[in-house]
Amino acid sequence: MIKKYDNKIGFREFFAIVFFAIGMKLTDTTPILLVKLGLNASWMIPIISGMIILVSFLFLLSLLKRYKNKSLIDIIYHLTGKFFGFFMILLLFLMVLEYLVVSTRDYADILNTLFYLRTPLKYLLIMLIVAAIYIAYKGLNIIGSLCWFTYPLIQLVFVFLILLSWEQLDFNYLFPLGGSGMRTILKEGVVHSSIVSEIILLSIFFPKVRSYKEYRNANLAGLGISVIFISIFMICFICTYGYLALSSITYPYQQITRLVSLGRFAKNMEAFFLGFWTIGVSVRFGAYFYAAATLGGSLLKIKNPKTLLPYLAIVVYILARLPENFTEYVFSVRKVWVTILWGYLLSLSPFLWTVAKLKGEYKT
Amino acid sequence: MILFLTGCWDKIEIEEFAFVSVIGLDEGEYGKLRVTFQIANPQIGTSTNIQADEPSSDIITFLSEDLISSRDLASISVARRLTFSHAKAIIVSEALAQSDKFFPMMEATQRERDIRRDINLIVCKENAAEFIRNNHPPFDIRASKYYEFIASRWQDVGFVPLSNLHRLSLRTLDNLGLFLVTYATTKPKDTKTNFESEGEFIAGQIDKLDENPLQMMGSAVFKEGKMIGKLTGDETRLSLILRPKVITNNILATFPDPLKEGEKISAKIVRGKNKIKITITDDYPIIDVTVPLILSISSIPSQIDYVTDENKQELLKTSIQKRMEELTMNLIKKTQEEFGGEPFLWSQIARRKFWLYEDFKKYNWPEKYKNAKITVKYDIKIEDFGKYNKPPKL
Repeated sequence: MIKKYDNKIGFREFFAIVFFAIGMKLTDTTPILLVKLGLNASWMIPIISGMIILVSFLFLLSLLKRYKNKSLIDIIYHLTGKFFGFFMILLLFLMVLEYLVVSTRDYADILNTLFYLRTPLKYLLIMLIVAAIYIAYKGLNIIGSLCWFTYPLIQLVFVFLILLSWEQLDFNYLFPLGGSGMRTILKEGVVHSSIVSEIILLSIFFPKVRSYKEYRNANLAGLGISVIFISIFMICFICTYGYLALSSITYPYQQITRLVSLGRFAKNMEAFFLGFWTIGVSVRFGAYFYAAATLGGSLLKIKNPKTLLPYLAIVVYILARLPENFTEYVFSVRKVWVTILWGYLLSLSPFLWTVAKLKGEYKT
Repeated sequence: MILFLTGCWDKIEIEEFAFVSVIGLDEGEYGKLRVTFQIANPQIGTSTNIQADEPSSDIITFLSEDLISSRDLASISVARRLTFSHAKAIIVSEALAQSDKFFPMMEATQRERDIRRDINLIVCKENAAEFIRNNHPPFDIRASKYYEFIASRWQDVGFVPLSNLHRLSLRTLDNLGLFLVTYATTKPKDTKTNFESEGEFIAGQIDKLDENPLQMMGSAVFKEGKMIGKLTGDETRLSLILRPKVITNNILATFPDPLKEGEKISAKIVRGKNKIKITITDDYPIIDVTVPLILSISSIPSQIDYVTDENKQELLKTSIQKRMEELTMNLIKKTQEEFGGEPFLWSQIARRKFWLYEDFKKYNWPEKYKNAKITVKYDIKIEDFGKYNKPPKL
């Protein structure tokens, strides 16, 4: 039986996209953001965030099931009308844009600080953005296949790194288990649920997925695996460095790649991990750019989101070059954004669901 | 994207690099730092024939503000760009280690990308500049390989501890106990010829005849980033045995023969996992440690039959047990009274007794340790007696 080519992506591709969107966050400064508040129990925070966003996601699933072929954008417009819908989508678009800008700057900084000391920052940014735009230009199907293709690679690399760092781990550093107290941990888990919020954002691609069931499974599996990996890596970071030393390290993942060695001969392994990390990063940004373009396209009523891509690239580039050094972004913009937005994201789908219920959409 | 990773601005030929294998740090005049670099000659130690009769390494010493700016200052005579990516050891003089400047300087240099956290740390009695120049091992010509090997001997023998920059930051920032650093010297002084056991020295006290004057034995004790004392090789080994994680295994040690005065029995010791039980009370913790040791007797010079005679075996076991316990209690008393902290990483076990991190911090483990009630028990098992069984009667 020959499978009909229906121009849609299935479980595997979407699962990989979700993993790249969320799981790759452990390779930048996101763990440090969490460690400052959760102390040595911050490995629990991603798990709590995952559970919280699951609740919101279930509302969303119910909505998507009801409206068979509409994406999140269409649902928002349908339920809240043109005016409010426009604002809500605008907020979503700004979120993705902000995340893109901060992340490209973050990753360019990582490359600049740790690997390429003399290369000017703007060229690193240009390269990252050009690579991402190139991938995004190909469309969602190619992005999906690319994600699925590179996913096992990245997964193996992560597991490999954990195995290599095994002897450096001192599990006693996880104790005292309470860290800063259960209440603080729960609060931080809720407030930082935006680290897993992509799962809500990616529902704008719902019509492109082959079936509702595949979409649901892909999302749940992706969320589960990403959260587990972020927690495992946070445990790795805490056990290698202890909470105190960890709070002064900006890039824990890169530092761990410098600390591990394969036997006596392969000592400086970070180049090996850098290669795979770059692949993951470019694919990830490709997906993000495409999502931003889709959202922007719906705002400006453009049929084909691909036309928006070059303009997006330029905007992201200009904004990413704006701050002098990265700490300005992380400690001011991102922190403020993250703490304001978690409310919006969490309540988005329950809100829409209530509106749908009130409007009587659920009465068949 | 990968194509671009080769980098245009950052590209550099390997030949253009000068690989520093050892870094030495001393106190200089007017608060400056006297930095020594031993730059390896990459031609030595390879299988290709050496073109010219070049020395194996170039050692350069000069005054500088700090470690990182000294890298550029080295260009006054070194033609290549210095890199620390293959540096294997940082040698610090005792004088610098005892000053307040040491730890802030080490922490600050870690911000620099090139300094890796797995560089070994060695404290030497004299100036680091002299130490690096005096040390010339006859056939391990590549300095970095030499330091890498010898600093890893600790794992087999235990006379020196594992000390690298990673652990220095970890233990000092945690501030829960003492940190032990390898102690070495190339200038023998006060050589002891009347010694009780093979590890009762600190570097410099061993009377040996060798082309290479290096002696690496014992450890320097650091508290809060400053050196406050020394431990002999035996005491260092005991500290490593008392730790929760089994790393130093397979030690060769000697014990006094219980039935014949003046004779020693040597044995190979394999460790089991220590059972450390800590009870926290408000004033002091109560620590009970059980150390299981499995001995494999390797020589009995006194020719007394410990092998087939059950009673004598029991006697041997109890005598070894008593001796270990005596040595341990002496060491513990020393750490409690003289140093005011413990290098045994028992604080890691104490962590489990607390729920909140701030409670653990408030308990102030190093202070409370000084009054702790500690009991150590050794659980000795003699596994085998080597190739022979009954010692032959003359």
